[in-house]
Amino acid sequence: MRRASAERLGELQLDDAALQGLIADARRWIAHYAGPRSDLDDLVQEAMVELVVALESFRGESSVRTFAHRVVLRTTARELQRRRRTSREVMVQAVPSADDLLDPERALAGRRSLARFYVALDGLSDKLRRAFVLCAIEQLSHQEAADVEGVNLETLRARLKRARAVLEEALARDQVLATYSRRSQ
Amino acid sequence: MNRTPRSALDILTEAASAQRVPPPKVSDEEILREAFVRGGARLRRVRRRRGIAAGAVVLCALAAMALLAWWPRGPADVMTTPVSLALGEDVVHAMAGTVLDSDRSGCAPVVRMTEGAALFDVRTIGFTVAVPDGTVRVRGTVFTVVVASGLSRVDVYEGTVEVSSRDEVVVLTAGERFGGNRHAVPDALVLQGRLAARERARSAREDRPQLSEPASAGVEGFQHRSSGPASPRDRGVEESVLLAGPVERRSVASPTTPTAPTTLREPRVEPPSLEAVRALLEAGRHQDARDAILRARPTDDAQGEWALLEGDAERGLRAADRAAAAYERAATHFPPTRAAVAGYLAAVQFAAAGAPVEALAAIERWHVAERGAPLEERGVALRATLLARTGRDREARTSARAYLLAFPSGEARARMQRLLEEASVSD
Repeated sequence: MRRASAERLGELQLDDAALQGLIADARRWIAHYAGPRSDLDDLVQEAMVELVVALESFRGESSVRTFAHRVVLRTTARELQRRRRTSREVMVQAVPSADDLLDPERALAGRRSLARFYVALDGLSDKLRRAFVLCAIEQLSHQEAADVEGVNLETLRARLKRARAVLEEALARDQVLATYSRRSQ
Repeated sequence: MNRTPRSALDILTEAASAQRVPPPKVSDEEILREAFVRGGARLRRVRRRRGIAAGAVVLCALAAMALLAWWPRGPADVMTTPVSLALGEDVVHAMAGTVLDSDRSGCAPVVRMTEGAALFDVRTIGFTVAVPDGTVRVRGTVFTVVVASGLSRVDVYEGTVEVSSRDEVVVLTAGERFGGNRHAVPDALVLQGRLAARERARSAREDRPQLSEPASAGVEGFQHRSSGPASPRDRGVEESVLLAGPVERRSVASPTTPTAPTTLREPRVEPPSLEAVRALLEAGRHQDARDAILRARPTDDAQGEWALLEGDAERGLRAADRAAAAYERAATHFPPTRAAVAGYLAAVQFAAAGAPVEALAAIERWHVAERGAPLEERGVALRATLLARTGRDREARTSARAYLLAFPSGEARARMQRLLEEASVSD
């Protein structure tokens, strides 16, 4: 099977280096989508397994990278749902920056706020969440995000607008996050 | 310079965007290897499931096709052209979907029929059709059998058959029907049955001179009649004399072993004349008239007259459906003017038998209500009444108006006006 997949990937002119590059991208996409988590490596592994399977049916209608992005995000969304059903524990493991080491208290507050932010993201549907993550967090253009999602621009923009509205509402209800902007400024 | 205050969402989004991705705990090579191993296994599963699903779809399609082929359907809605099967010298015209199984191992052939509709043009005496609710034993005849939902219906076009049901044995002659099945006989079979009956009548006319000679009543005569294409009506009579009689003497001689000379020496019964039968009818002896008609040997030219008398006898016996069938048969032998009269009589009897649709069909078939027809006035009135009875109110009103326009002082004037009023009230 590995040989068959390798042949298929060869047809797509994908070598190990390109796939390894996709692994690095997949890790970043997943981190942005799921937030700081201790099971990030598991999510990456699941996404790569799904990618190998999905590449069998890749018809070249988009770039491999866009296709891979779509597969990774959808796999991650599915995995997160599955893990939310089986375990309520979400382990936050953010990587401290140099500034954090200088001000540990501020760093802790920032990590907690980020964790609460991702809890708010959990309140979005998968489609709205993907649209928001692609455009707001990964900062893709609307056209790029629409390509990844396989929808037209209007649909993507409508999802993004709806996602922002839902998140604004959720953050307004959260007393800690509502004051975050004031404290940050 | 004033700074626009950023919302919490913007700040948090920026923080999420700037978060650093933790370094992997395992190398990319290991992730890739694991992905290929597990992905390959999953691909195999996916392919296997696709194969199973495709197989299941194919199996379902085959099962559906088999079910469709097997599912019992009304014999009339399957197709219009029957398929002809030859069973020795006998011919079966079977509609599609008819389930037949022939057994010729015994002294007389037996066809088992469990579903469908078929016309039997039979020359072999003793030929038997086994249906779910009885048996139909042939005495040289043309008849149809319709089987649906375990119930059968037998319609005889020419000759005689003996129907053994669960609790009775009935001998049917031409124009008679028996059975609890309400399915209509497919038109194609009706047409074929009538053609076969006419063909037999024509053959009988050619054979009759030989039969009428005294010497032909011997063994040779019997052999000729049993194997040749004699008239079914003639054959019915001859066989009842030579072989067994209608029901009670059916075990006297085997039809395929016509060697019993005693049966051949029985005296022949003189066939009754038209005048004699008319006299019986006028005297109100309808049963006797009917029996006489069954014994009759009508020439081809007189078939219509005899059928008309048969219809009168059946009407006198209050067998409206048989009377209607006899009148319809008479109409087939008459020229258009007399056919219209016979068709009107058939329609009246169908209506009396509670079959308004068949009555309407008879009116249309025999042009009973057409302008210039001998019974046009009655035909139009009857058609209007039947249309109203079958719920075709608009057509009924049209017919009633046509009647009142054409026959403003006709006998049915009041009835037509009432029909128009009722129709307008119901609207």
